[in-house]
Amino acid sequence: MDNFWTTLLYAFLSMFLIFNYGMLLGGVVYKIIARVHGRFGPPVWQPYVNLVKVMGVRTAISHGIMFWLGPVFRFAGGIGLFLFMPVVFGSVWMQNFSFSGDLLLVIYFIFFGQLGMALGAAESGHPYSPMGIMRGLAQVTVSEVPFALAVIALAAQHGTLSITEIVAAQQGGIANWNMITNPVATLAGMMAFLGMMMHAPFNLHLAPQEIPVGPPTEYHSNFLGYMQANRAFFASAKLILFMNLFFGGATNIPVLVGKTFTLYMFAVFVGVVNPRFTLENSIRWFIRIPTATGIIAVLLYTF
Amino acid sequence: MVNPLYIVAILLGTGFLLPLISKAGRRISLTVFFMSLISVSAISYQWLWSFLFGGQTAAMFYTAGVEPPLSINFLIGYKEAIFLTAVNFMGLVGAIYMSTQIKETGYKAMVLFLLMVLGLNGLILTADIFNLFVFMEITSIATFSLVGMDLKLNSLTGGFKYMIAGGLASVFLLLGIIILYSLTGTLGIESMSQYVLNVDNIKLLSIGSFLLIFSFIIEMKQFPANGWAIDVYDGANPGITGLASATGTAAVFYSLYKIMPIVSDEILSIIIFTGSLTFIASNLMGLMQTNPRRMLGYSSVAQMGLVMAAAAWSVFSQNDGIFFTSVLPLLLNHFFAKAGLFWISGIIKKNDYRNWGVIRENKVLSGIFIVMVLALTGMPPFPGFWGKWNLVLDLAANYEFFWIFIILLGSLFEAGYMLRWLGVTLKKTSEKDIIAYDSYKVLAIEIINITLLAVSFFYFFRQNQGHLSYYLPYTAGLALLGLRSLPERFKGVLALTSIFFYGYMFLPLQTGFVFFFNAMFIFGAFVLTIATLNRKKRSSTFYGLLMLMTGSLIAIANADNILHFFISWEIMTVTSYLLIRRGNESEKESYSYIMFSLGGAFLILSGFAYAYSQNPEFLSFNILSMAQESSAAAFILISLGFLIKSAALGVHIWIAGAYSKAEDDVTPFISALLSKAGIFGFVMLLLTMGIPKTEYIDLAYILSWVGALTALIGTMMAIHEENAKRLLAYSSMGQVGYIILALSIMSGLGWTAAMFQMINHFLIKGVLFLAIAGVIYRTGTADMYKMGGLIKKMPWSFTAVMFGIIAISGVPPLTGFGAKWLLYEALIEKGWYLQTGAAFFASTVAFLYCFRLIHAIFLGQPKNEFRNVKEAPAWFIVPQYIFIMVIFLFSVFPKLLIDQITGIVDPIFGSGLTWQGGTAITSLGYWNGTTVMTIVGVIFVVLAAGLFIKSPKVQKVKQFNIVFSAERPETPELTHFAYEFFRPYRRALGWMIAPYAKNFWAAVTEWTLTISDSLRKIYTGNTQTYIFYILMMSVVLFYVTVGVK
Repeated sequence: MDNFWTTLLYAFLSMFLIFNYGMLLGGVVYKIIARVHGRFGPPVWQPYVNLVKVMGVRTAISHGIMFWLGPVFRFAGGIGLFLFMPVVFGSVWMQNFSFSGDLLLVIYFIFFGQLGMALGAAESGHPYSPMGIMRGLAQVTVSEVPFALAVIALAAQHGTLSITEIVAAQQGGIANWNMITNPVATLAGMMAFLGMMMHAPFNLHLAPQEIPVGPPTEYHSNFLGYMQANRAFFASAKLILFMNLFFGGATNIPVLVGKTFTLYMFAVFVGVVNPRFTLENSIRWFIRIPTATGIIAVLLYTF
Repeated sequence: MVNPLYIVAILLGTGFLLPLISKAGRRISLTVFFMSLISVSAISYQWLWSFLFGGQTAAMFYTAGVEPPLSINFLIGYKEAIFLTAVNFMGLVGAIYMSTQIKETGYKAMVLFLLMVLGLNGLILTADIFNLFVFMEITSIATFSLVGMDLKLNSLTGGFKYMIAGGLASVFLLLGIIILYSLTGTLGIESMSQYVLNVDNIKLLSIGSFLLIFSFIIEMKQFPANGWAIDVYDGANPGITGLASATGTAAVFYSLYKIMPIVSDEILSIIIFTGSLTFIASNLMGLMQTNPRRMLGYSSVAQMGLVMAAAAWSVFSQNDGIFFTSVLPLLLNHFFAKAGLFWISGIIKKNDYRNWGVIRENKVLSGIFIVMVLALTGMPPFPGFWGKWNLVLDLAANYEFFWIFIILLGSLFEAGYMLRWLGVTLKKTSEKDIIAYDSYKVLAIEIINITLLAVSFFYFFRQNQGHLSYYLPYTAGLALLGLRSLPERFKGVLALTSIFFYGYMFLPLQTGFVFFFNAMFIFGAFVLTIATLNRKKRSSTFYGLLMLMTGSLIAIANADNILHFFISWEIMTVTSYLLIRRGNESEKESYSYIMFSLGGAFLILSGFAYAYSQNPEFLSFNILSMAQESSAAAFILISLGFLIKSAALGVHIWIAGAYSKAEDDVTPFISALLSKAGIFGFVMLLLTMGIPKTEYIDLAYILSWVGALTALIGTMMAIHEENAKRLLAYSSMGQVGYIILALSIMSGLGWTAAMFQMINHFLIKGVLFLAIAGVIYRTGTADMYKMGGLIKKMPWSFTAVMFGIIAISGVPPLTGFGAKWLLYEALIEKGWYLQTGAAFFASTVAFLYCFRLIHAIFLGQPKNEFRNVKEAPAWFIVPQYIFIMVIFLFSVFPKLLIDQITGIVDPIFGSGLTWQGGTAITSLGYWNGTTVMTIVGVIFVVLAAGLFIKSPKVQKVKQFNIVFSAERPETPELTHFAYEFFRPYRRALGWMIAPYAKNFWAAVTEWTLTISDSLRKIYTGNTQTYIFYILMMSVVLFYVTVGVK
């Protein structure tokens, strides 16, 4: 059991780190978007302020048990996703519970929080909630296609689905990164990445500027707090996943921060200079070029 | 033994005396009339008895002890005794059927009737070709007089057409006899068949035999020289039609059979050719018929074509065994079923099959009707099934595949119109009608029905000697059909007990895949039957059919040879059809289901036949593994059959209709259990045959794409359905697609994935369809957008659906993830990357319909009319939670299930999976279901507890309490967003689900019907046209067989 408790301790430690990293990353992004828009923008610690504010709200309204459980599902999904992934290659304490399953577990676990959240938000009875969910889910189904194809190409390339082994295969310099050794798959994966990070042009389901749609419509107070905290985990977890898959992983925390930050900026920069796609547009976009790229990536290993 | 000459004496004597006796009163003449029929029946029966059990040998009888040609000579052998018994028995029953009418018409009808029976007896008995002609004339004259007896326009013209055609046939017959006599110098049929071998003038001989046979081709009403016959069947009194169709054709057929040895092989092939052509053409034409009697007419003609061709085949191939195993059962099947159906049509008297729903007013008649239609379509255990089975296998052994194709296609056409007719009568219509039930008529039909069943069981026992224990799973169903009058719930408990008992007794004895499938069928049927206990409405057949279907599934898994497999497959098809048809407004959908299923069954049969042709000695499954030369062809045929059953892409169009229109507590059986029959078929096929690989194509690769695309497109279709059951039907299609994909991998890991996914799908679809059944039971609708917000009223159903969709979508930590994980690992290991991508796409799209299902029904805003609905009855809830407990068990401890599977799969394919503690390890990756469940569970509980502690005073608001755009909607129940939920998705990806398959099958149907319609236009109703056809046919056939040189 000694092993178990140390694993747990390390997991808590890495969770603490990643939470703060995720929060700060969110703050930086606010700032960047604001600057692009010509505003000064909030301070980088604004996400903390937001979180403290919503968690401090005294009233809480619940539409029912699923509504109540929705944020729990969501948050558990975010944390779980993070915990099933090895974070820093070669480090003893940043391996989390990655012994529970391979890449497929991680990919499928992304849906856990989304599905639970969707159920909770839909119970609110607010028509805009399911509308946002419909848009979000529909987009996820197609953005996952190039991503899955890229992952399959990686699995074919390395003969494994274990994230640790995929990272291990990329050690020894940038020339060994999958970005270089498997550029087509990386291209497909990064296009999917844009859809998965929920920035423009693929953020119709959040549509934050106009009417509020999607899960946040009826959520507030602690519920919203859970969702905001989750965003820190979820975003970082996805960044770590992509870093591990295509960009050689990380052997220490500064490299981790550097790589994930750069990765995030890719989605953010694409987002700030692009208008928003309608759902049909984004579905068509994903099913064309990114999917075709993914198919090419896979075909390269089929023949 | 009684001299068969007494038959003639009695019938002729009574016939001549009747005018006198009739003076003594109607009652006495009727008594004498029946006495004479009974006594001839007794004589023939006595002969049959001594042939069967007394060691009797064939005997020849002469009138007045004088040799022919001065006397009439009768030959009575085993076959003659069978035909005599059948004809005289039917004559007697026919007289009972028509007794009211005979009474009214008086002694003239009796005389004609007796003469007809006399002619038929003579045709069977005579050993002299000229007497054959004489008896033919007697029969014809008596029959067309009887046809015209009604003095109605239709029957009179019918009789007239019959007379003209019969006259032509006689001319041909007489000419033929003259020529043959001049060449051989004998009239004895047997001696003639000897002497023809020594005839020098071959040309004249073939002309003579052609004329002889052609007259029989007319008499046997072969296409296209048979327009008159259809008019006779349609116009005449149904009593006579039934008799003529059964006894008349039987006797004429037998006399044709007698003279077959005389003619050359060339002419025999012409008989085979015309017979087959008639079989397929008539059945094709029957498709466009709406008048039941004409349908029966087409079917009669077709059946006679088949029987005639089969008999010619038995003479041609010098295989007398085929006569008893195939020709005779085919004939007897037609004999009883056709007479019965014609006679039923004489009671119902509806000229359009669509009005036949009224038959349900009479339970006895409608039951008999079902039996007879099923017999005619060649279902087991009726004689037609055995006849067709044996014929097909014999043809296969002789490499006559084209003929097998013709027979099966013709049978499919015949089933097409017969089952359409049946479909109407299976469900009560609103139309009320007063039907006059003549008790004599009903009695006669009942006698025929009992005889048909007796003959069926005779053949059943004959064909299954030593294998009767195989049919044990059917006993519960048959018993419940017998106990039909018991209270519904009591029957349900009996059904449950019988399943439990069967499982308890036999499951421990089984191993391997048989155990695996049986365990699923038995456990599944047991749990799903609990839900049927909620039924309140009495039904005499429901539980019987349900248990027969369950029994057939178990029997399919137990099958040890292709015959057993095929019988159970057919029984499963029929019983499931009858169950689906029980649903309201299911006529069209169940018809589509049965036609696809039958087509699939025939494909399987032809595939079996193909394999059998390589090793015609065995019926065991091993012939599939031994079929080297033709394995690809056999594999394609058989797997197409299974693909139809699994609703693979392209042949899936029946699935949504059949699933959604079946009764709500029956659909879970179909989706959870029945859909696995096709999978078992694949397992059986792949284990014996493997997946053949030819030089150009890799069938495994093709099969994998069929599976992958079925999964993808099925799922794509599911997300756009408004009806919950249709949505789940397409979901089933998609889920079964994964199983096919996994099976096609042909590796240890692939098959583990397939079996895991199968169990997963079985459990989940059990839960989901039962939950939906409960919802429909309370709300009365399956349209999801009409509901909403039911979570508050039906929390148990909601929770069940929630677990169901989490498991089906493959989200960890429930079993669905295990299935997906195994599948992808196996696919990538195999190197099928693109298929992996397609499967992955399908599985993400599945989230869409999962969310839609639960959202539209249970979440969002409720509708006003459902504000007071209650939770579904416990009968629905309990089985759902039994399944959910199993799902949880396998989610936490996937090793329990996977070990079972690998125990069976590994010895075959080698191990693809190792265990390290609770972690499953493949060559690519690893997964530990137990730790995943634990971690997720702990995080979830901790977070939930945190939220609970942090905000203990949550204010609960009721439904409708929402605000949007800063106002409270006045009619919040209208804000439920559910209709056309994924419209943007359809706009973007709708092209993927354009109804190509539907349009294709619609075109196939349209073309078939158009051809049928154009073809039947050749029957103008004009006698001159009919005569022209007869003459033209004689010219064409003459040219083909004899030539003009």
